[in-house]
Amino acid sequence: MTKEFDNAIACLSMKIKKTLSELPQVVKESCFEVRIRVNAPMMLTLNTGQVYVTGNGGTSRLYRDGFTIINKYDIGECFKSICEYSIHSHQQEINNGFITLRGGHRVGLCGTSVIENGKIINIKDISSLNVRIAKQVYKTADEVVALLQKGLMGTVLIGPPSSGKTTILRDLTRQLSSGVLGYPLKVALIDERGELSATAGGVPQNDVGPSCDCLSGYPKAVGIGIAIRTLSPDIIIFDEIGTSEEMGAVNESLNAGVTVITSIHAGNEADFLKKPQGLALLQSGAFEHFVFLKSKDEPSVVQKIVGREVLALEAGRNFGNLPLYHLDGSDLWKQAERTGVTAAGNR
Amino acid sequence: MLQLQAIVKLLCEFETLIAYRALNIYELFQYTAENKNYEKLKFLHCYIENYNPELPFPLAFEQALKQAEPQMALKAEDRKQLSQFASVLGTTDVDGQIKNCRLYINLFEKSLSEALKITAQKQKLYYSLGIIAGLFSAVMLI
Repeated sequence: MTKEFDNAIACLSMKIKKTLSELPQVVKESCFEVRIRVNAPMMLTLNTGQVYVTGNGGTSRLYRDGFTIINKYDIGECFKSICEYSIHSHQQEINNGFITLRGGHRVGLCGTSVIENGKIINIKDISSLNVRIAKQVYKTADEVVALLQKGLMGTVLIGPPSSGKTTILRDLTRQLSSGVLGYPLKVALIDERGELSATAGGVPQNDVGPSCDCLSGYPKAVGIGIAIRTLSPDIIIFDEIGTSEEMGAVNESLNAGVTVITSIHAGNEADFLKKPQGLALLQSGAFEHFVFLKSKDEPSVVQKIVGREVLALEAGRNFGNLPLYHLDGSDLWKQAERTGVTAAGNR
Repeated sequence: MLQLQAIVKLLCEFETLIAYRALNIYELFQYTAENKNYEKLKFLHCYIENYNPELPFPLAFEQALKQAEPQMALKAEDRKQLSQFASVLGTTDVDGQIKNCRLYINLFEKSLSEALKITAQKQKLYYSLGIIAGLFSAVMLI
């Protein structure tokens, strides 16, 4: 972890790097975020909570005068260094609000947005940076892999923010691409925000396995279309489905016979079913398994796995006669009843 | 003059590489340093040879320019223009970079046409001086 910490801060300005490198090993090991704010001391997020960097190799939970204060110039220098003195090469990432570094670390950018035609075209006056130290967690997808070993089917990971959806997707990509199912799978990873593969300089910084094609920076809907047409994947993996274009692309992949695995934000089952996107996923017929994750207090822990039919019945309880149709036209309700799962008293 | 021509070509190539490939500064220098068209521009090689990711680019470029100076015959104003170009390189979005390249392409083209004009004038002068010297020698011999 110290190596990862040193690797992550290597991109920062000399002054900041020097201050951080003086920190004790134990602090570096437990640190997973470095926050750098203008006119404030640096702050570290450790396993045990947040602490300020005092500036003499120490940390403190309480703010006191005399800590090393970061000024606007320091932040500016850091920003330029993070961009490798080539802001034009990172414009898209800047507009997305973060830059991926070699090693998969990510720097979140805060400042004043410059908007044109309703779209962010730049961020000016950078006021704070948040360096998130990347750590790939292995074996978090074991439960989902066990599920897919019974049959490769569309799967959605559902959980609140920081519940480990991306971590599981990343590990799932690695495992499927490495042939965990007993045969090599062609995995197409659509990584719009660079969170899954953390591609830097064209090379995935995270271990995504030997048979994974990464479409990094592509809008998800576009990337799915390209993957279907050009990569002939067995499986397409992407994070955070949300828009109708993405839903349309999922339907396209269903028609092409490609399995899709994705994730969506939702606190719990009821929350998921309240969302139009949740219902759309259920209605599409592209997903058989709905994997609910626990809270951010227990990241990457599966709470329960619900089949499509059971979830459809649950949706029926909440929404009465909501038409839930497969894309092939079969009635999901009827199918659920045929398989013995009834919604007696709920319709 | 050949160096000025190479600089104009280099800036045109930077413009294209930034617009269509969004290469970062190191990649721009690495890509062009390998091109024989620019072998006279020694600062490209000096920058790549001494590349240090921790060093701010304008500073690294100045060092490269200084190191390459003995092998290049740049006029002070051209050198200054190159430094000014480098001070903006990489500091804006793609549109800004393209405009920066365009601006300095125009400035260096102006320098180039002035240099060509001076060369043409000097050629004329040396030609006239040669004729006069030849005539003088002939008169002296007669």
